[in-house]
Amino acid sequence: MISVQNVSYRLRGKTLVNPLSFEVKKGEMLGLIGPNGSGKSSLLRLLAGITRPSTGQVLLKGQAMTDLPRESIARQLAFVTQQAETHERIRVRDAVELGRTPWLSLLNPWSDQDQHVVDLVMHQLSIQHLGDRIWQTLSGGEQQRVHLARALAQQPEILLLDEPTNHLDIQNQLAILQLVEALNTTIVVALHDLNQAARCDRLAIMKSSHLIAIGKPDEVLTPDIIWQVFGVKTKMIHDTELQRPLLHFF
Amino acid sequence: MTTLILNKSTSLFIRSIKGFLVSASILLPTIILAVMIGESAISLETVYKTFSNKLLGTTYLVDLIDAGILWEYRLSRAVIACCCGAALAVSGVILQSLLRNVLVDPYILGISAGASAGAVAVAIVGIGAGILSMSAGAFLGALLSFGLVLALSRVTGQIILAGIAGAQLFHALSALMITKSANAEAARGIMFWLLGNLSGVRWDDAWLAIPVAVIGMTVALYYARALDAFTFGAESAASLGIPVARVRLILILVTASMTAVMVSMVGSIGFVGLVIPHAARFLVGVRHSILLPVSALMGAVFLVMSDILSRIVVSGQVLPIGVVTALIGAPAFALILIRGARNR
Repeated sequence: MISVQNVSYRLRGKTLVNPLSFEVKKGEMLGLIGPNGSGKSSLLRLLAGITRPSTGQVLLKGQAMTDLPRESIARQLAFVTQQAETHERIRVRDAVELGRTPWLSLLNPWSDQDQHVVDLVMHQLSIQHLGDRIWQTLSGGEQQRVHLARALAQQPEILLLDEPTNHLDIQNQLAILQLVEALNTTIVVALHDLNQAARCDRLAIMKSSHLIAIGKPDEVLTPDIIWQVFGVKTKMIHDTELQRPLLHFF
Repeated sequence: MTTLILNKSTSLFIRSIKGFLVSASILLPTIILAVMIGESAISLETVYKTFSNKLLGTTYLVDLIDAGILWEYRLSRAVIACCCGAALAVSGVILQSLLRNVLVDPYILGISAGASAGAVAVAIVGIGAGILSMSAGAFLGALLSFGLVLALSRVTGQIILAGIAGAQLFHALSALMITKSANAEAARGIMFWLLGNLSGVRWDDAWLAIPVAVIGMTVALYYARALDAFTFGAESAASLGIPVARVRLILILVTASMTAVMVSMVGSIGFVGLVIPHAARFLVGVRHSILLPVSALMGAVFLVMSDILSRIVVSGQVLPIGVVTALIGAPAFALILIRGARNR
């Protein structure tokens, strides 16, 4: 789906992403993990085509992102940025309807089909009852659901999420992750919590703007790599009730 | 489901149409008031007869002096006030959306000050004389000041403070040019114009103001959906398929040219672009497809009313219209600030 070829990114003389290459496969959930400032958000922006790579290129289904019009990218790929806020007293339904933007034009005005998509995603994310609420009155978890709904209203084939569980309580963290897991689409998600990240199909681990490792969680979440990247010791706890080992840090 | 869809879109449609009709139905009587009120009062009957003679070709007998004052002086003035009010309010909506800051408008960001300085440079100092018109000078001044303010805000992250610095700098430049180049009498006239003054405008000015306001409004409406997409920031707009850099550039040029043309005619008028968008949002919500036309109409009504007030507050004298908009706008702005603080 996405092919990252020798991509690097520099801003004002500072390297934010060192040259790296990898593929995002169709239907997989790829987790991006790494300490704060390791380049996860910069990499996501490159994958979303929002920033141009300094070197190399990002291919979206075989085509260079830089050659594609923004609208065409937005019909295939949705990006939920971290803590996107607004001062506008926008209603939830209006915020979700923004997701239809790439499908609308003067010749293709708002139609029943667009309304249908919006109703569907609001139902899918259980926010249909919040339709008339004003954005500022929502809880953090509700706001994150609205962001997800807006992204899904784009009907993307690929969904990029930048720390969607940040600043949420544990109940909302799990609820959002379960919702994301249940989406039958290709996902790249930056995550903070390594145990939560272990639920992804594959993980890309970043440190100091370098890609350190990429592979299945049990291949890359090893005590050695975690020590090298995060500087903490790890113990794997195996529990018969869990399908995967639990990481304990000390 | 179909009923639901119908209900939803119908209610939004009705709300939008209502907002638009209310503003439009206030605008016409306001213009009629504006042509009636002045040093010499003109009756409604004379207004009707003059309009009819001019527009429908009837031959009612009217006092020629009254008809002349009404048509040549007051109506042209009211039309230009409409265009200015609409253009400044639309510029305010655009800037507030693009910069995601409800406290900005062309005046706060120094665009008006830049336009004034540009116009003064052409009219008084004679820079580019013969090639540059006052409006073109104002446009270049507006772009220059806005460019400086944006560059400064990029470094400091403080758009409003950058705007204040820009506005002060360009006001000072205007004052410097006027003091150096004009005699005392002319300087007084220019200072009066800088505060916002509709006294000198005629139909010739309207033929520039009308197309600029209409084209600016049309371009803004074309980008209404893009402006909606900026609700959650530029990155979010980009991820919704908006070519952010291009849209920003076009809308900034539109704002600068609308502001420049209006400032070159009537001087810099504050608070219209700041307060009107808030009032319009309060009435019709945040969707730009309806927010822009309603803001334009409200801005037009506000400026025509302010012009009427400017003629009657002090008998025998005309106040600069910028003084009236500030006297009304500043308390309204304070209310917005207080409301914003309470909502936080």
